[in-house]
Amino acid sequence: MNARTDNSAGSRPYRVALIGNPNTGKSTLFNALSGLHVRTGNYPGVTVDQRTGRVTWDGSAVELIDLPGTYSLAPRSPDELVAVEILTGCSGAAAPDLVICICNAAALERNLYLATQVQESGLPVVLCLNMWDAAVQSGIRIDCAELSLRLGMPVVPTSASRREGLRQLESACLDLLRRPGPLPAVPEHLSPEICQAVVNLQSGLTDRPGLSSAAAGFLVRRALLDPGGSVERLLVGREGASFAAALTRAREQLRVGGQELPAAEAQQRYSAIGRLLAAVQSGSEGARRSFTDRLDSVLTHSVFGLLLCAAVLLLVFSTIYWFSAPLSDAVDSGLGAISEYVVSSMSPGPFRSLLTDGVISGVGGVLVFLPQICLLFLFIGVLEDCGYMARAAFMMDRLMSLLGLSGRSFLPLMSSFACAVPGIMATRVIENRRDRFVTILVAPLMSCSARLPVYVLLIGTLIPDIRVGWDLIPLRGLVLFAMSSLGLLVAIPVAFLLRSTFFRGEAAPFLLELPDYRIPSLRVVLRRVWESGWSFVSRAGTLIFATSVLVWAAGSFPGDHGPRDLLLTEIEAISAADPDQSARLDELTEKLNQANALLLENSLLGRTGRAIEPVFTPLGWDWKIGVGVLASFPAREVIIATLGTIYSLGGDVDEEDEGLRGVLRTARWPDGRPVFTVASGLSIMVFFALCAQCVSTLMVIRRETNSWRWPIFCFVYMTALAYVGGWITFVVASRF
Amino acid sequence: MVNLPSNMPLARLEPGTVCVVAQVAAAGGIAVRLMELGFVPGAVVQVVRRAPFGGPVQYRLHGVSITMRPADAAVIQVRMLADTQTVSPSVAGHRGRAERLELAGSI
Repeated sequence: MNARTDNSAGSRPYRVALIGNPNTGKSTLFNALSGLHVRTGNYPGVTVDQRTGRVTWDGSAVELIDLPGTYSLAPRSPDELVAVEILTGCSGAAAPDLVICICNAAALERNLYLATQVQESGLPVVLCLNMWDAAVQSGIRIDCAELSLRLGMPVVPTSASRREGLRQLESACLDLLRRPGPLPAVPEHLSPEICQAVVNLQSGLTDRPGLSSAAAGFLVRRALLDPGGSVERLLVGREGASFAAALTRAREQLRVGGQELPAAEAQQRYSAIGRLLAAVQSGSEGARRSFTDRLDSVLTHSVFGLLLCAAVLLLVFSTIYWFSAPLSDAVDSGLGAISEYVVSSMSPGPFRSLLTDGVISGVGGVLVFLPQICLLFLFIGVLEDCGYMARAAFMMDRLMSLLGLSGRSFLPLMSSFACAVPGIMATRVIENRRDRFVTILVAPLMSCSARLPVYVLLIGTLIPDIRVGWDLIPLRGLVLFAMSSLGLLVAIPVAFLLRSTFFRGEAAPFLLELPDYRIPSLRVVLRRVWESGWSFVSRAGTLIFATSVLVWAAGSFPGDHGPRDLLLTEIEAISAADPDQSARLDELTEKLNQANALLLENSLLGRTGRAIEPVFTPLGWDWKIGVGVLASFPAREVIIATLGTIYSLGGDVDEEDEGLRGVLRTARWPDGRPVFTVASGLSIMVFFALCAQCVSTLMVIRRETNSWRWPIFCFVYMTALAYVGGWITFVVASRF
Repeated sequence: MVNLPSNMPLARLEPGTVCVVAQVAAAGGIAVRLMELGFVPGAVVQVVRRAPFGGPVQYRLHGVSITMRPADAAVIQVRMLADTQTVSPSVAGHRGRAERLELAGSI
């Protein structure tokens, strides 16, 4: 019975897996095919994200599965093992009904390596020649019909970023899924000796229910071809030592015959592909090549390239600072209006205070900074999609190797500038375990977007809005840049220490592909911006809401709200009836301030803060800042909501931009000195640059390292660093 | 015409040179990954450029740019390609040509 006919009843959707090399536009194609119906989950047992999309093609339900990018089916990383396990159906879920193998049409020789491996799985495969437009532009001609004939699988050219060829791809898949009868014969690219060895080994397998004969043959083949690889371990684990011995014997026999593995596979496959392409491909890729090369000779130049890289980073941070302010102000005033509406329509009391001080100000603390996050991801999206990120990794590898890391760590660390959570998840591309763990542990030091609110608030409050350096550089931008760079600078000795203590061993091999430059696709970049922005809001939103309410409660109870609410009622009644009684209003407001101060001092939060004030005094902080820092453990940006709540004057806290800043500027120590000086402001910023006040990051570390040891280690070392850093900053800055 | 008696490590070649892979002289993961990427005997490899600070080197083979560190490139044994005409003009450039002559002279 043909495997494909099993699903034709329509009882369950067709399962279609997408596989391909990195840099083939696989994610773009997946997004284009699945639209917005994408779900992100986890592969069972491992910590690799599984993206699935549900679509309908010509009346048939189809589940698209995006497999991790891989160069071959000889897995070297958890991601690549996932691909093999899905294809063979030994991951628990059934094997897909069809595989779309995505190739970069301009680099077919290398890309067909994976395609021929995938074909050997016995599953129906559709070959998708993506980036077809770019290949045609650069003068490459491919005879798709001939290629299809010779490979025994449909070949469809597509340009996913322009959404071209998608319908043809869908119908080619459907044709294959619905066509009854056996698949066309698959050409054998490996030698008869290797094929015979596979047959012999397979016949020695114990009977495995749930694994088709084709899948078992494929697993045996992969185990034989990849000595010491994951599939060998998997099969030996199942079959025992006798299978290991049989494998060794088979390999020895092949070696004696001049076919030493794993070299023989690569050699035979590439020579078969070479013969194939000689018949179906013509033309050169000269034009495009020379464009990329000319650009590279400038962009990766030892002097200009590095200067440009620094300029790009500076541009990113300056733009974020300049352009996000008006957008944030708009969000800010919108929330201010909502807050005013709540105040005007409710009488004073704990519930109104909860809404304005807890809920609205907390939600505002997230939304106000959304423009900055979106702008940052706009830059990251553009830099990645145009191919510049890989160049940055190429140029930075030597520097990263000084930390004992590779250029591969550059991307996760760069991403951590937006948020350590995706950055830490991006470390999966690092093959070497040590490199990966060190990168994970220093990634939270990178200045993430959650620190921006803290910097922006304190810089806007305390740093004068002047220009320095021939009147060109805004001082505020410069301080922001310095704070954003601090974590990176500190990461250098930290990574070095980690490598020479916990993670000894040689550096990982560094193999990085430099894709051709191309115009970034607006669709791809915007989707990335949207996904990042949404994940920030949805992730931070719940945390901030919960924390805001908890902090509001801790700051309001235990305490007698009666006098405060009476004062509020009186103030609002007077201002509504006769706004000209300013003297009376001022008097009442002052009483209200005192009532609030009393309430806070006696609350749970206030008592805790006062109790631990001596801990924070060396850093130039009063107990209110200390409370803000404590309360921001769930997420750094929560300190904004906390300070807003702590410093709010009753329920009529001004959510306008200058509201909180004004309150901070007027905050005083008991002896009349201002609490927020440049020195204490810098000390807070340095603390936040280095601390691990982010539950999400710690949880992701726990997930990625599969242990509580590393998140705890990370929190302890970063908090210690942050405390010492804040203390030194305050001592030094106080001298000026 | 450059005619070399024996193989040499890829890491020793200067930008602009074109060579043919003779063998990958290593075992384990790195060798597998290199061969999968196309560093198989007979493959033509072009040395394109070096990253700043003596960092990785960019190679071109099978129409793809791969970068790797000199230490990793040292395991790939290559032969010089006798026919220098196969150097694509876009890559060779003036710098490449000069360095290739230099290399030929030094051996």
